[in-house]
Amino acid sequence: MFLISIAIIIFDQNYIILSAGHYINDILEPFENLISKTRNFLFFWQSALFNIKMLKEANVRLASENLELYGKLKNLYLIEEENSDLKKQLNLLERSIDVKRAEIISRDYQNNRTFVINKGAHDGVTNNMAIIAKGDIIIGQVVDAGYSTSKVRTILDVQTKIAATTLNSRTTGLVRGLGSDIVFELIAKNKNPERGELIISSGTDGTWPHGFIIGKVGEIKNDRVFSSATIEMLVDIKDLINIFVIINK
Amino acid sequence: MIKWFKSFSLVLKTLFFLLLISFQLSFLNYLNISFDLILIFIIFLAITQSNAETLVCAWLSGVFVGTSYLSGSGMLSLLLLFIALFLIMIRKTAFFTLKIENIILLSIIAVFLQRFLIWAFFGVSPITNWVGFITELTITPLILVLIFNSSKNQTLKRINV
Repeated sequence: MFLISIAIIIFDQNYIILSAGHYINDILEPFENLISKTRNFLFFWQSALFNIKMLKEANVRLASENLELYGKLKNLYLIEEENSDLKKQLNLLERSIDVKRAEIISRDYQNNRTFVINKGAHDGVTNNMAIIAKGDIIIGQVVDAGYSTSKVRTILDVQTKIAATTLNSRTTGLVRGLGSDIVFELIAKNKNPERGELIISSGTDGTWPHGFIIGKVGEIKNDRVFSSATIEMLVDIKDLINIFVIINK
Repeated sequence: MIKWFKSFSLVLKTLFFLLLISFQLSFLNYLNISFDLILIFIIFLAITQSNAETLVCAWLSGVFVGTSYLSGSGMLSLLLLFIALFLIMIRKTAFFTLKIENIILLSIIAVFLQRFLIWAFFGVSPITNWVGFITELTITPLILVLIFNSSKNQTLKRINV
């Protein structure tokens, strides 16, 4: 068994070993689906019961914010119409993305660096596809697409690197995973990102799609050559249940 | 509970094994303060079952659980194999009897060993989630004591090695 384990480590990209891993995932998938549905049901009602007061207050606040947003939505609609007309006049293509909704059915132990979703090659998912949450927030990337399940590496993982830029000040840099957090680094000294500014993927690395939200600029630290900033993530990966796979860009 | 587990057929044991793995991956891993049911299972097997069964189950657990981890099945199966071997060795040399103190000590040693090996193999320090570490250190011996306490009526006061 030691020798088999060592062989698996050495030849982990071998077709036979990858296929065996996919078959094992396919065997576990129905159990994981059932248990994850049960978990979602239990957690939903547990959260509802324990947070009744908080939910009521949030409801009142959201109703008021909703009214303000209706006004902004009306203006946005007018701007979008105008934008669409201008694009037609200039013969520019509309940006469109195809997404596929998936559910997280298992994750690694006490970390948020990887999870498994219930969509695979059978559903059109392939390696290197980006994973986003509601609100166009980047969560991770598919690293191993099986037949009906896929393994996703989250942006928290140390192997994740995303070319990014800030929305307002247009400060470019690199977002890198640290294991339990992410950091925005390689910021030029003459650039001054604002705290709280949104960081989006720039798409210049050819791996990640352009224009998706990564987080907000946190504390900025000035180093000798470059500056860096912590990133406040907008979603807690631990709390995610449903995500979207970008099938095409 | 030990007699109940021993009486399972191979099919039922396989089903139990798959449910255990799925429950760990799909339910317990969602909780910030959780524990490792797979480790508890390996400690249970190391105490009650044959060495071969313990090693095979530990290895298979690593292979199955590793499919959900980035590091893959090889590293995790090696890790669990080391833990199972270590538990078998120290059970043979130090923990002969099924006393509560021995079970608690064995579980604590297993948790520490697992955390150390995870740090060595995957670079994940136990301090990253120290609350989870403390919880696991508390819950693992507790669950094992409950399991073995429920088998009190059976004459398993001494395990012959």
